[in-house]
Amino acid sequence: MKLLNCPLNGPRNISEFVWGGEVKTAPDPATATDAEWTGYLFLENNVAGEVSEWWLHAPTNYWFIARRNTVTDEILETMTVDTFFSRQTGA
Amino acid sequence: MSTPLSHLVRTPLRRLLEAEGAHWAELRDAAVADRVGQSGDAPALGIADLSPLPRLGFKGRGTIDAMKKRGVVVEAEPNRAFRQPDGGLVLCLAPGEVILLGPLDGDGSRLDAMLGDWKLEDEERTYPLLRRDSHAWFAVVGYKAPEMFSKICAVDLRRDKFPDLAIAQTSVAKMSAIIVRADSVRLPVYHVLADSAAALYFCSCLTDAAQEFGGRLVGLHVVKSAYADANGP
Amino acid sequence: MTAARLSGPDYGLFIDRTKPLTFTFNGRLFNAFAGDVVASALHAEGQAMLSRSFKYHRPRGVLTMAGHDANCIVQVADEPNVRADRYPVTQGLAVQPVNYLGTLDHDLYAVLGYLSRFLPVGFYYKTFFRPAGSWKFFEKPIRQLAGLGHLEPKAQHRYYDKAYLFADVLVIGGGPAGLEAAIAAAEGGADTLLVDEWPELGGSMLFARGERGRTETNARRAALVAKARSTPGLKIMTGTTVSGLFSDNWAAAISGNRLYKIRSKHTILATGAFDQPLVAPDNDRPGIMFADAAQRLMRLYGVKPGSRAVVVTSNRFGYEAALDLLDAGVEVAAIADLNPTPTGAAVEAARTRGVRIFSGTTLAGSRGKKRLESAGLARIVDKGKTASAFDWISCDMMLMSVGYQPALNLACHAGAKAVYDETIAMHRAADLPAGVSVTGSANGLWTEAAVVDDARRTGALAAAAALNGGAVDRPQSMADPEAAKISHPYPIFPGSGKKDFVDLDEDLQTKDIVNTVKDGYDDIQLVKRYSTAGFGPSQGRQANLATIRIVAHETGHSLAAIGTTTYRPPLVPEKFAHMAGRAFEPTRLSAMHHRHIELEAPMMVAGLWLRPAYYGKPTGSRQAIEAEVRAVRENAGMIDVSTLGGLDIRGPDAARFIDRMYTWAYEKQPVGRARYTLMTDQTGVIIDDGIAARLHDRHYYVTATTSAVDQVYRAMTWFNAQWKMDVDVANVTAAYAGVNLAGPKSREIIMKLASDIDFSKEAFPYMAVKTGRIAGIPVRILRVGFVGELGYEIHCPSSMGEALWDVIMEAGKPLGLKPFGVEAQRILRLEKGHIIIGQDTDGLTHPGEAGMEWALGKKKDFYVGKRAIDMQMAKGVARKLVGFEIAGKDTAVPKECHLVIRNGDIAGRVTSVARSPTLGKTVGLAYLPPDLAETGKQFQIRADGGAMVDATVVPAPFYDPDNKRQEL
Repeated sequence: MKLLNCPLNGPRNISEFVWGGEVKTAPDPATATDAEWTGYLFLENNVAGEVSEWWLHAPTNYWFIARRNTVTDEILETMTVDTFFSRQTGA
Repeated sequence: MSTPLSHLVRTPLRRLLEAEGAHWAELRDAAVADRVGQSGDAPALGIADLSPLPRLGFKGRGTIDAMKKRGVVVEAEPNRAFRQPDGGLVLCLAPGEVILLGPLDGDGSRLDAMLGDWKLEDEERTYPLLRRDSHAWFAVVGYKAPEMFSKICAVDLRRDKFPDLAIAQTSVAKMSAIIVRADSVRLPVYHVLADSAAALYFCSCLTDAAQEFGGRLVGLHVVKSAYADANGP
Repeated sequence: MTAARLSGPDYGLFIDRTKPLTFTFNGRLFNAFAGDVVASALHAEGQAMLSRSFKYHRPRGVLTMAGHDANCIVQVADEPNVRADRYPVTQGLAVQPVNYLGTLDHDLYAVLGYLSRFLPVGFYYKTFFRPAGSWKFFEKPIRQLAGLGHLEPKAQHRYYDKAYLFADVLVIGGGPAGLEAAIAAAEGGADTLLVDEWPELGGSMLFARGERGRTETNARRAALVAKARSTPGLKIMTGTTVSGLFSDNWAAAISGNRLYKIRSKHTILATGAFDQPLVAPDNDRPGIMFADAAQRLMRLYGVKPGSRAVVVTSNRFGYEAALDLLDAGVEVAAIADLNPTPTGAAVEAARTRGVRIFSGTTLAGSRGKKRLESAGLARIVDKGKTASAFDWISCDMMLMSVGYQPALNLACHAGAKAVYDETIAMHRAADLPAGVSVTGSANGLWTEAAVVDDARRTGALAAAAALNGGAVDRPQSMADPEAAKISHPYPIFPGSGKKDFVDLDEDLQTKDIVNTVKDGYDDIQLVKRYSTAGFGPSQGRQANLATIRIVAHETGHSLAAIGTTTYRPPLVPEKFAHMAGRAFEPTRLSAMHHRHIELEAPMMVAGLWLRPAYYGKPTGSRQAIEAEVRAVRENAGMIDVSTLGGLDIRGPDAARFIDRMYTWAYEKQPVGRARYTLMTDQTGVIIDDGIAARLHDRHYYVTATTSAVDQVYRAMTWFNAQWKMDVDVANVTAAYAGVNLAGPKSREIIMKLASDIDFSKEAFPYMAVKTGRIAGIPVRILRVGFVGELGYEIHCPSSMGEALWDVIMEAGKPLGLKPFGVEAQRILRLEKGHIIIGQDTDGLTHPGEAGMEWALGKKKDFYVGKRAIDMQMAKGVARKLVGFEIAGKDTAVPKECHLVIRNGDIAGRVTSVARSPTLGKTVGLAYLPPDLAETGKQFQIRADGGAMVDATVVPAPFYDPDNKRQEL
């Protein structure tokens, strides 16, 4: 049983968590072409390597972000949603 | 003698406790099982249903400030509990969420007033939640509690790893639950809040796990006497 | 038969000679002492044969005395697959051998041994696949032949459970290395847990002679165990077997009827090594066992293993066992040493005591019926080859010690690789995951000084790693020059005409592995699957290494290049009962649950909830359901809707948030009004529906379906983690109980209750929402009509749910109020044409298909799913959900999911169908192609048994199409 370190609750059995998919940026629905929007909905990058994913700690319904390596099955780090997006915007 | 049926508010464990021969004590708006079973002695591990006691939740990003404004002793330290002067306990679950557990004497006036006085228009960004209804409240009293919990919960609750006033929000017997350690003067006490709709199931898991330690259902007085001279946690 | 027990303080550590017991084996009475295992007691009484082999039904006896082999498998009462060499004898225990026909002594299946040339490797693959169906014919007798005990369907239920254990450092194995490592870890400040599978700590020190003699070994064990027991911070569990090691130092351990889940920060594997057999002709007779097994029989159980022994060895352990036998009064007829020039202290000691030593010699054959009678020794002339001249030496036992295989199973479970090291002719662990260390003989260390040094350093480093977090440099495993003298690199000497067993579980011989390679399966993973080597209960503990060696020999590759098969948990057999434990299955009950039980309602499962199906006895279910439907249509009915999901959405952005989450428009919804909600996911698929009640400008109370509310709550919080709107979302499902009071008399009933709410038609119209109190209970009341009648959905704090039920039932009784269940509700809502998400929709249904275009906010810029729905609507729909009716009373009634058939092809599907008591006909909902989905069109449904039923598309609602009744 893997451990996942919840930013709110600390390390817990992975069975307490729900996977929420890779973090993706939605194109602007008003301007995106049908193909772009379809791609956003249905095409997955399926990266062999480092990915950033949504995870939910189910007992507290707490969403956060985990970076993990899909090849080595290592969880590299976990962080709050705010931390992740402030990093993304190049802070 | 008071009975739960003389009140509108009833514990989800009413029938189970009645079958166990509970003696009920009167609260303002409910009856709580004060003694359970024939033996007056406290077992090595006691499980008490405190569900009829008052409690209230607040959630929203302004919660901690709003609580402090109301004189609640609390800090924005998730998964930590704070003892209140009236004997109650306040659990900080997240930066924007608390649960206020009323004192063991069942005096819910303070929480009732907090709920009654709260207004959306005040724009405090805190919103009340009926935790007395959403969550059943158990107290597990005794030194064997961590060992008992290890049969139904994956969090290390041993006394040297899970200090007094620590909180674990986790899965217990496949149900989401909140475990708070709030030791009494005499004994370790773990308060557990879990889905009120699953209270019967949850109670059966607790008593099943407790059996090998001589654990059984007890009444409020066992919890109160553990806290001895104090009025609550 | 006289009991062959040894007396003296160093014999029979586990047994209590003051407590004699009796038990039966194969119906015969045997004596034992408390502490004996089945195999030790049987062997003591001369019962060397424990079982018959799997394929050829050859007699088999004690091999490891450690539960590592399949020879020892017996049945104890209703429990199959019991390991006789680990199972404690209790008074009256009834033990049965397995895998024989007739009696164990005269197994009629033993004839199969003579047919072996007709049973080549890959027999099943080659034989039973042709002609088609032949397996069906042969399966039963083959299964009969291949049995290892039987399952007892009426087996007694027993209490099994699970528990977590926590430690900074977990040490697995309580032998010399494990004890040293555990003490060092605890001394390093780590909260340490030492787990060992045996009843007593000590590992090999319990039975082995040791470098410095038995007396010294005993003293060393006593001192080490005493130190371990008195070391603060070191917790010890004996009789506990770790069966698997998983991610992040999570170990599964079995102790009695309990499965422990041990979570540590660092795991030290001091798991020792498994004896490896000598592969030679007739190497399987009862009486042929590992040297360690004989020593265990003597030291642990006080059993004299035989009277005259031959020892075949390639290391000091064979000589030490011979010396132990001599000390116990057993004659040692000869020692055959595979090495050409035996040297060492133990060799000299044996020589001094006058034992004949044959150097460069191996076992090359054996004789004996139910037990070994003589051993044939021959000189080794080349790798795997012996001279044809034999020395036949009479003996009743032969001990083998020709090498070991480190027990790396757990390391490999955790992700390490076992890599062959030519210098020691054994495997070593490589690529260990952080947080897992190996020490002792499992780490290729065999001499006391090397073991102690390595184990203590490993323990100290593990403690430091566990306490400081993060990985610490792995201890360099120190070289042990003696390690090269333990394992013979090729103890495999096939002989013609006799069976030389590589795998005793599966009765595989050298030639089977050779033929497997010749058949083209030269990859070790394929060799295993084709030959079945390592498939048996011993999981290849004795067979894998020999198999790898033969494959390497045949292919000319190195052993390192051959690799190993994958070690998978469990290491030892686990019972399903251990896996099941207490089987936690949460059940949620509404506050009114017991009222339903009192009214004899059969309860049905809805997610984790139980809901009343109807009220009354199952024999009268149809009448009961119809009466409930009639009550709602004619008077009033009440259903418990506490299981309905509830969400409080509060804050300045509440309206905007709801507007984005749901398809319809809510920003202009007046306070005090309710509105239907439809939720789609980003792909436009319908995932939920409900009602949004605007209780305040900034407060919506939204209902969700029972099964979807958790998903809806997750979706809302997920979106708002990104949108950052000023709103709080709370799942208040469990906080509110609720009932739906419906029927023409519902207003009259509710008005009988004391309330601060004006229930008049004008003040409280259809789709209005009010809060207040009835009979003292705080309530949220929604005038909504899922069943299509005047009705009130009343929600109250769940602690008062039972009281709410009671007061309404009481008030309604004189007016004909009946409780109704889910079955009646399904009919009522179907009569009104209301869909149920998940029943009338599937994982692809979008609003256009379900006829829900009216619930789409067409002027809205955004809601979740809008972009996809716009695309779908532009494309046009391929199916439409429509109402249908079936004329005539006598036609078969189709069921949900029955197919619509057109010209022999599937054209659609029924999603809901019921005989409507109100309308006196069968109505339903079905998906149809657009050209069929027009009112008045006829289509056919294929019902049970292939009956084709004619149906006609009709507009829904079927009942009260003008919605007059719910707006009364």
